[in-house]
Amino acid sequence: MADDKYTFRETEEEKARQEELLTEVLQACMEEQLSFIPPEGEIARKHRFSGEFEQSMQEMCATRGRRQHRRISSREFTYGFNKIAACILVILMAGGILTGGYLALHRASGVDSTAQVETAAADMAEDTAVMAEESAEDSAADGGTGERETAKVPEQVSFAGQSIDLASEQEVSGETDTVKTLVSCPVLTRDAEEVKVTIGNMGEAAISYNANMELQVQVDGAWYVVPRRQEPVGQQDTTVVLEPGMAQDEELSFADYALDYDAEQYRVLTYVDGVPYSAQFRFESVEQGLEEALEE
Amino acid sequence: MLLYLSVLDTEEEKDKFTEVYEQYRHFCWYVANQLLEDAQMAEDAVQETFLALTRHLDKVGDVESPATRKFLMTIVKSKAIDILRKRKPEQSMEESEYELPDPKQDVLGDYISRENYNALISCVLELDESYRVIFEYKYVHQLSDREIGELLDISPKLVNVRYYRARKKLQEMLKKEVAGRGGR
Repeated sequence: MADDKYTFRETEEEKARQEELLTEVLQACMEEQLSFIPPEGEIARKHRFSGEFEQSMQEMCATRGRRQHRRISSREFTYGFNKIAACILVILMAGGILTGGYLALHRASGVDSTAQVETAAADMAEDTAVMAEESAEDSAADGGTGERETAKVPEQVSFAGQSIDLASEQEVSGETDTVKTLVSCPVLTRDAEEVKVTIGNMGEAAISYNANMELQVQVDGAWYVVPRRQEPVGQQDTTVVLEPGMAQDEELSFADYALDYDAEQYRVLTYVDGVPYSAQFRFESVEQGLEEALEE
Repeated sequence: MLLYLSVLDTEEEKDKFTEVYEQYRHFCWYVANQLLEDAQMAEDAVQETFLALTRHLDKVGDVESPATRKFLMTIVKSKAIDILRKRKPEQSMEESEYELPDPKQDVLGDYISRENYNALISCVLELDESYRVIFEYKYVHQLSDREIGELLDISPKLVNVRYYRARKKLQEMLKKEVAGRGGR
């Protein structure tokens, strides 16, 4: 263990000097290692790269490593966003039909219309209050108000039988003027096998994003990373380039994760040109699922 | 490949990436092969190295400079280590356990002094490559945890965990080395 004179708190200057010295040592060690490596030509004489290697490197050089990148047409772009719009429309229509049916049922049962209006008004007021409350909660979670930032957020929490870590990014935008990230459906059924995320480039320059997206869950207002059961074997270039005006669908399979369907909210996070973006979703409640099953 | 390069030459489109590739592919293979002792796997490591480089080409200045050579050496070593890790999944399991650093136990700074310079050199040279590359990324190439994470395809948090493990290991080695030399 350290002697007494070393137990004093190191000053920043001392730390800087130590880091400088460590850098110097590491540089010297690297030079030492490099000194044992023969010149390029000599190695080339001893080793010939395989045809497979040469071919894949040729492709990599031709595309500067973007050989696995996918480019999509404007048609696909329109189609992707149309699907999302259609999904939202279906939800709105279903909501409308349910509300209409509910009101018709009550009218038929002879409930006083004034009372209905009052009830509806009260429901609306209640809904508005709930929405406002939810909105406030959301803004606390996503907008990153000072209140939550100052509050102690646990670094790890227990989730779906495992310990999960606090996400490094808490305040993440879903869209900017140039980039949009959307999930196919903001509320997923519990038997959904994957979530589809559409990334759109609304700007005038190409963007690149990481298709290896991260799943995060909201626990007590803070975001935590849901780890994969198993990391993908073999490294792949997961960078996708999107030309201006294009969009790309990405799928995140739930089979890779241990999930809690009752969690507050989930989000899929990716980095677009180094900037994090996310799209949120949640699973339907048990009641919602039952209602749908009964309707069917 | 030669045909392709000649096409690029005539069209004056040979970019930095291709320059780096031409200049260092055999060098990278040699470094990888030293660690992996398998020519085929060394080729895989080289491929992964250049794939990673496509996303971090901005960190490469002068193609011919010693800094570029060192940067490539660190990347290819880390890619070779990744391949080794995948061959031994039990090590990966251990990796996934996030061990939070205890700052009280980190007294490496106490051993980093001019008087211990030779001991430092000796220990760094003996340090396992998996630890050394983290130091190289951080100190020699001055990369942040996030940048290192992007290069290694791991989270910044895991980078931090590996960094503290590397510090701990170096500290242990230095402790023994310094004690053997009769001082600190």
